[in-house]
Amino acid sequence: MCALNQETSLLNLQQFLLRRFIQTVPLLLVVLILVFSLTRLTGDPATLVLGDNATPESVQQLRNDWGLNDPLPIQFMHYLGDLLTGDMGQSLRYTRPVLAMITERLGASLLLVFASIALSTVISIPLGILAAVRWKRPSDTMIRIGVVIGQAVPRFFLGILLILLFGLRLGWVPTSGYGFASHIILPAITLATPTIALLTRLVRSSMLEVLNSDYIRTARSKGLSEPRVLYTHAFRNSLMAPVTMLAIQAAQLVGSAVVVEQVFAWPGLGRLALDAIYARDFPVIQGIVLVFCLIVIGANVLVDLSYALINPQVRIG
Amino acid sequence: MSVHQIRSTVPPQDFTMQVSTRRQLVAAAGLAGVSLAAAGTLRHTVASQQGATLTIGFNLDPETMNPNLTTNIASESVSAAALEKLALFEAETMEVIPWLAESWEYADPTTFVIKLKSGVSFSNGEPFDASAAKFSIEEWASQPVMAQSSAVLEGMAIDEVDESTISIRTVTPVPTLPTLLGRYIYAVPPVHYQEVGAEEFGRNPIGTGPFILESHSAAQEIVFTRNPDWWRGPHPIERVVFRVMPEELSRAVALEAGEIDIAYYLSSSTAKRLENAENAVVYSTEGLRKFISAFNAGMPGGEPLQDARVRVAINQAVDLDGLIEFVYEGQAVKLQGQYALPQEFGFSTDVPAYTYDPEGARQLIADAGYPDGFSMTYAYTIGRYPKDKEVGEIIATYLQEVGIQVEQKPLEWGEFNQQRSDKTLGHIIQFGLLLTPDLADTFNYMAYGEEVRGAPMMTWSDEWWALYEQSLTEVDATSRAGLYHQMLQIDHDQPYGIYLFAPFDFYATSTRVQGFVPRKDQALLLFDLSLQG
Repeated sequence: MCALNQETSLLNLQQFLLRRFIQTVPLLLVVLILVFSLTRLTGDPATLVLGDNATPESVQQLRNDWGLNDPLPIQFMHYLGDLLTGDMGQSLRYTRPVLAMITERLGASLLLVFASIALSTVISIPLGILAAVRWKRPSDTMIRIGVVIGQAVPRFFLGILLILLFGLRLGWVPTSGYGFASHIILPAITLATPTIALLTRLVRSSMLEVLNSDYIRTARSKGLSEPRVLYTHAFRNSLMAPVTMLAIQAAQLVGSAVVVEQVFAWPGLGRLALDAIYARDFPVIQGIVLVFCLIVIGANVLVDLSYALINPQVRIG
Repeated sequence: MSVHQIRSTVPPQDFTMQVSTRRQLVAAAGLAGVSLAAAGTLRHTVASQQGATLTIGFNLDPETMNPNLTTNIASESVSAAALEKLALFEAETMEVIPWLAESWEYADPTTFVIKLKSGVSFSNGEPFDASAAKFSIEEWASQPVMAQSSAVLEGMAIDEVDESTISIRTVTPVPTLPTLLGRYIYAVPPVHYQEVGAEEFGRNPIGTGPFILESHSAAQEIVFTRNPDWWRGPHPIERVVFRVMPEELSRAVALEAGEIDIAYYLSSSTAKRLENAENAVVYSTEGLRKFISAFNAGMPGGEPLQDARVRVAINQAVDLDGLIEFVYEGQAVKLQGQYALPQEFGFSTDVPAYTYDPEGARQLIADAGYPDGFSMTYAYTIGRYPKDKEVGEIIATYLQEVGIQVEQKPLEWGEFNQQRSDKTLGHIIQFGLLLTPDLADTFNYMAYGEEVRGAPMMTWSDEWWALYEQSLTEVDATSRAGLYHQMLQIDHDQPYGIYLFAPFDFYATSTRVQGFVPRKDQALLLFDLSLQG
């Protein structure tokens, strides 16, 4: 019976993943069409690459070489055809394969985002629980004040403050750069702070809601210890909303990393995206948006799967 | 002893070694623990801690290190660690001085003979000789990105007179050939260059310079090591690291923290912050990047600008001294009613500056037939140049005070460029120009711009064009300066644009850097740098 259940679960999981995959294809196609068309409305990369000195003839020649004078649908079909063979095209500015450029930056971006998510999780959950348990006490008030500040402070400003304090004044960590584990501390804190604030608030409110429910009262009346009530009964049931928010935040962190990467000279995808946008480097912009999209979709799939782990009543399939 | 003093004595490259106390370890371990697996994947790309390493906090990651493919001075500064030009501008006077060329002369008005230094070779062993110099000039002139500058050489022929002499024969006399050598002509090894192509050469440049490219980690750093066979003898610095740090405040703080030795290209406010740092030396120089707001009288609605009185009035309406004081804290040179800077060849001391006179401006506009003012669009870039947005906003306010209704068009650089190509930018167009220290280049830019880009522009008088044509072939420097004076006087009486200012450029180094001289052309040349201690 147990083996049969496991088999059914595995089958459900496979069906779920297959369905999500099938849903992803049209979504990606729509995103690609949008990005492809919108980038081409923003200007001519040939005039930017060749600069003030170039003649109109050489600008036209370059546009021809890049295929930018072809009708848009033809350009898109070429792009799509290349993409299906794993070719994301070549950067117009750097004349290098886009895939290689993204690959060499992706690690740094993922590292920063994962570190921020990890930091957000390990800080916000205990703080949120503490605030809920100590409801309306001084520690709850202090946490709530911290949450407001954390959500209000812009990342750029926070990053500069952290650099000046911990990098320059105290000299504990490098002010910027990439290379050692110590380099990630300030950018990860900067990126994570608003997420920590948001998640703390959410964990607190979820916990408060659960702690006031009938089954918690029942558990307490049965004489269960407070830690057991908290961690076995309340905590697990309060996780759904924070976990959902974490997935949304993961997607936002990828975008917010642009500012942090700029301030801390972190060589991630955000900076590459920014440079590509300024240079109208269409293939690079398209490639990065595609990767960002895949990351967001992946994060959502992981969250859906985690629901089943958190709450056995949720069935995958 | 204060923390600051302790830190100021730590050599820049020893930074990571400072994390030694328990508190520091706890701080470092906090996130390192969280990202333990990831930390293992971090590449140890920071340059070696051993030996004399110069670390430069640099504002960009060059799109190419082939100087024939870019006119960006910052990108060129990176490639200049490995590549050298035939001539240089002297850092302070901006006079052209020989470098890989030993000397030059006009044999006749259309024949320019260059004698090259002998005994120079590229780091791959190819000799730098007449053949290499010929190839280098021809390759530069063939690149579309150099079209405006190389236009004067169209139809040229280069002869190899002997192993170390070349002769450039031009269709018409080209008085600016030494300037072109000083600004553009880098020696490239012909065999290798042709073998790999211009783009690949931009990724792995090889030159005659003091350093050899070791590695380039995208968006992180470009590392060069000493060229043991440099023709001036091995450079005292063993290794040079350009650390890519786009944010200028990050560069300044990193310098203060002792992580880098040079903070390249800072704004006045950031430089001011560093003036109090014990371990930093701040340099400023009168830069060559000048700002002009050109009149686009040909655009629909630009009719008022066709009257020279209106153009003079607009110049009188702007309080340049106040603007410079407010935006740049006084750290800029005012253009004296002309678009030449005092440090440029061709500057005329006889052309007077406009005086700030809003009343007079209103009167002139009324005299021109617009007693109730008129409407204009004013386009400017955002973030392309330091404080460009603030300058645009303030000038728009000045114009409004004399009765001109201004529609502001603040534009990101890509959009600005696009609209310039489409000729839809606006009636008054604010931009910065960083060219050679020879006014010929500015005139060429303006004339070429009108011809090729169709903007910015206004119609010059036939007299102006005649003087311009004459100046293009006038080899005698004094006569050419005389022609420029006449042209500048015309451009003063019938202004081409609002002649604004040239902000100072700022750099900062650690106290251990010796021999740093801030250059007016914003280039960073490492030839005479050394490190103390």
